[in-house]
Amino acid sequence: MGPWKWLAWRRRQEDDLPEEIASHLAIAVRDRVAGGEDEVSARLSARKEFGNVPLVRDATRRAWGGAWLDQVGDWARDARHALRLLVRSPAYSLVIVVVLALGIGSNLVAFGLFRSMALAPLAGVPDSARLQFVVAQTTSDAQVALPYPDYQYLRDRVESYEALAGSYVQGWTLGRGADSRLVYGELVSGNYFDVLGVGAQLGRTLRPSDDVVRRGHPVVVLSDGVWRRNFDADPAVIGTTIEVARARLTVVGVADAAFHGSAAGLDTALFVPYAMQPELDASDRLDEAELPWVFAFGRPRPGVGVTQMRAEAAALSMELAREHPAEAFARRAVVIPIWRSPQGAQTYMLPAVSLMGAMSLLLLLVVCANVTGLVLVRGLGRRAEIGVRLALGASRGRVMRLLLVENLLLAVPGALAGLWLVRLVAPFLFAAQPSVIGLPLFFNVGDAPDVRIAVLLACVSTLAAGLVPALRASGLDLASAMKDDLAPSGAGKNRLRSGLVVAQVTMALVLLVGTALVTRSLAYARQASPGFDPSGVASTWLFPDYGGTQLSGFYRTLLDELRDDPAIVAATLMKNPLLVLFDMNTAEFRPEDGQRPRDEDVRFGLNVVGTDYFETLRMPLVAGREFDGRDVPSAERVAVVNETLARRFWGDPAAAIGQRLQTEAWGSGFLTVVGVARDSKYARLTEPPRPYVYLPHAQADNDIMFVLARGRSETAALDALRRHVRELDPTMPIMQEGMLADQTNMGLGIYDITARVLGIVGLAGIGLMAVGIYGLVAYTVRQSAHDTGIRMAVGASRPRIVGRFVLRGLWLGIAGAALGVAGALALTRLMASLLYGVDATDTISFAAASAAVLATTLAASFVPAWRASRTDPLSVLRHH
Amino acid sequence: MDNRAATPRLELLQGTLDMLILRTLQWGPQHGYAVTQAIRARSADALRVETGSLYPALHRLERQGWVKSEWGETEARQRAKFYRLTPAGRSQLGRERDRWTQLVAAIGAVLDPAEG
Repeated sequence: MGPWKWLAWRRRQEDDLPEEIASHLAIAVRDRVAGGEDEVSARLSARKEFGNVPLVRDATRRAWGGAWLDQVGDWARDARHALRLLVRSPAYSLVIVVVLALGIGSNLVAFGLFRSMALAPLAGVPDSARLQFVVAQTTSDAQVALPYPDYQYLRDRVESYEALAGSYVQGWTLGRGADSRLVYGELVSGNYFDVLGVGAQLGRTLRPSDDVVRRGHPVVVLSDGVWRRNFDADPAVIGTTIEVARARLTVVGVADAAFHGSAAGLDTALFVPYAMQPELDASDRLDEAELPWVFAFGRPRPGVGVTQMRAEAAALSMELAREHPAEAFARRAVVIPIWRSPQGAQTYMLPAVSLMGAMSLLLLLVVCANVTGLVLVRGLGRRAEIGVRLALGASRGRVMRLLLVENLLLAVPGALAGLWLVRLVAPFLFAAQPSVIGLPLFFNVGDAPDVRIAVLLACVSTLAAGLVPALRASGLDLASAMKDDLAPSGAGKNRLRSGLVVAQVTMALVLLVGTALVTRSLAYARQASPGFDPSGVASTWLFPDYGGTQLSGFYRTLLDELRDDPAIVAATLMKNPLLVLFDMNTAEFRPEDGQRPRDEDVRFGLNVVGTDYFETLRMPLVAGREFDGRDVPSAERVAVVNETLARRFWGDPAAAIGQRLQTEAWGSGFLTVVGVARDSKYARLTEPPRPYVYLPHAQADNDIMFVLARGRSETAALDALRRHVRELDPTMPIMQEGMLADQTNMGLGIYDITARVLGIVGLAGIGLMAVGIYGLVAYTVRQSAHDTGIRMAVGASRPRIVGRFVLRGLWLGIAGAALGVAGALALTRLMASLLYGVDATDTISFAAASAAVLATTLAASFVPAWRASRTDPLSVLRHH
Repeated sequence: MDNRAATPRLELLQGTLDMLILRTLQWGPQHGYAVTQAIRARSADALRVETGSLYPALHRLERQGWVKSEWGETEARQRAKFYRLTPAGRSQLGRERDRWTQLVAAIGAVLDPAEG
């Protein structure tokens, strides 16, 4: 019998069996009557001979096979029954679905971010979490990119990798003249696309043969994004020539639409072979052994473990150091997984994302506690029904299944509502994805939240929430249940429910403290003084088409004219943007006396700045002078250092003046310290004080620069800046026009997302807590309606009744808040690295959170208590 | 009292019920009650098939395709489900009979080795 025939046969047997048994009995009776028995005794004996009808029926059913089908049928029956019940109490169902949606939604957001940082950091790259990076580790354990020669050395020798690719993010102009735009691209090795496993949606990607001869491969691959934004998604772009950083490159392809580059959290647009670097930067710097600019990465060969890769990298870097002992660069190649790679946003996003994940899980616990409370209360209302089922012989397991199925049924709409909620808030969270100096941040959160995760979370939480109530309900004492007697055995259950409410208050308080700390940190960070004064300073980034003396003349004239403008107070130049989360340049600086340990990490951040820099940014010098007209290319090379550096090398700022630093930056040689600047923040607001060096523009660089102008008013400064640039050179590419304060705040963008997610989680937590308290007090009110009636009948005033119930809620609130404060004190220490300007034990955050929790408790218990005081004592007493 | 006490009742050996039912149906389609009666009569009351064994067996045989059921009427115009042997059932009966004969011979040989 085939499965379909069997199913049909089975159904027919099910229909036939009762009649077959009846007919058997009828024939047996007729047989006996025919044999001479009287009708009544024939009936009896036939029945007796037949045996127990239900037993025969069950035995026969078993012969049909497919007992599991009956199970399915039972489940379906349970589900139908549960569905009917849920539809009949829409308020209950709706509350649970909403509560679930909150918990699931926030976990989906947190999981999405976590996924984008650690599990699938690179969009469009298959299995990107398995990429292993090779970086150089400095003696102070900072991890930086490899110099190009080191990359080549490793690339040609590593055996634990299938292949070693490399890339480095660069800002370039796209186009020429006034219409050119700032885009971020990557210098990439020829095997870059092969290693990543990324293809082209149009044309081709780059191949190893595109990265062989210096200046010999003028080709570029576009990202889908830049192809759509800047080339109108025109397929004819393939084969055309475009200008990237003044170099003319032929477009050979457009990468897969999903691909956003190899820097997690960032969105890069152009991919140019390393061999073309000399064309893009006006000078060939690939052979510089000190210039860190290759983040190398690859996939391990099958069967190769991380330990083996690490050992190989260490061995190769030792060999390399032996072959080139003269070079000071700390050649210690280490292997790190992509989520720890300094290329991309993951290293500074992961702590925040982990916090969001932890908070969301905590919220899910609140949800479970909340749902448990709701199910418990509802279970009490159904004691009679369950009692009847048990009395009729339903097994405990069967009743539990019925109750759990009811919960599981709510999981599906809960998951769907959670998904919908994420879709609703995701634009608000991610649409305003911040960019840092025009470099767009991009999180691989996927097009849609993960449905599997949503369903899994929903099922797990509903089952968890239903288990205790189901155990209790199915184990209830029959006699008392049948009597519809709510009060006497309620004490134990009340304890459980009170416990659940206290737990919710506790967790809500922890959530709120976390939210308050992060929000206050963000507020502090926004107002914080980074050690310079960006307010009122207009900033613009110039990408000149030319260099040499023509450009230095342009910058000199521009500054002169700005300073002559009555709207401008001070003006200067600056190479590297401030507070953009990472150092754009670093270099090694050694004091001339050479009395330092050989392995001391002397790689410091640096900036190249114009004259009047410290005046424009209102950074008073601690000692010496700032750069001025004396510091010309032909004069002695000079530097300004910060206080921390001066103290480290010479013990005292004043002693630093006149000392000399040896460096390779912008030519090998010595720099004489002419000034010491106050410490400030360079890459991040949260960084500790660290050594920093300023070099004069006239002696160091003559290229892409920020022009800063402090004006009498913001608009005046911006207008004057643009006007003077345009008057001097109508075709000068101007990027990132705006106020310096806005630019330095962009680095806070990623914390914005954290604060918003936590804000939502905190609100959800306190909302759920309110529902929990309301539910408990309302239930207590209902439970003691009789008692209240008597009290009121003998003259208790309404305020007394209200006070009685409010106090009950408030006690739980206070207990929960006390536990929450203790819990938060223990937990917030873990988030210290994310805080700015506030302690992990910040009194205001704790006080605000406690106040919010207690006020909510009060409000949530007042409503049902007030309703209790409105009851008509007579009607209640009559009812009982 | 009926004659249950008088005649010693025999327990059916595992697996023999199917064979007996198939054999009974060889004489023509029968309903369940008639099958028990036939087995009882032919065994001179020694074999009584419980309904709790009969119907599971009948249904199992039908599922295996050895019998086929059809609603019909008895001579007394009582509606009943009649079971008919299928060709597959017929050959199955042959197989079971052969096995049974071998079994009986083997057991006989063990119990009475002198003859062997």
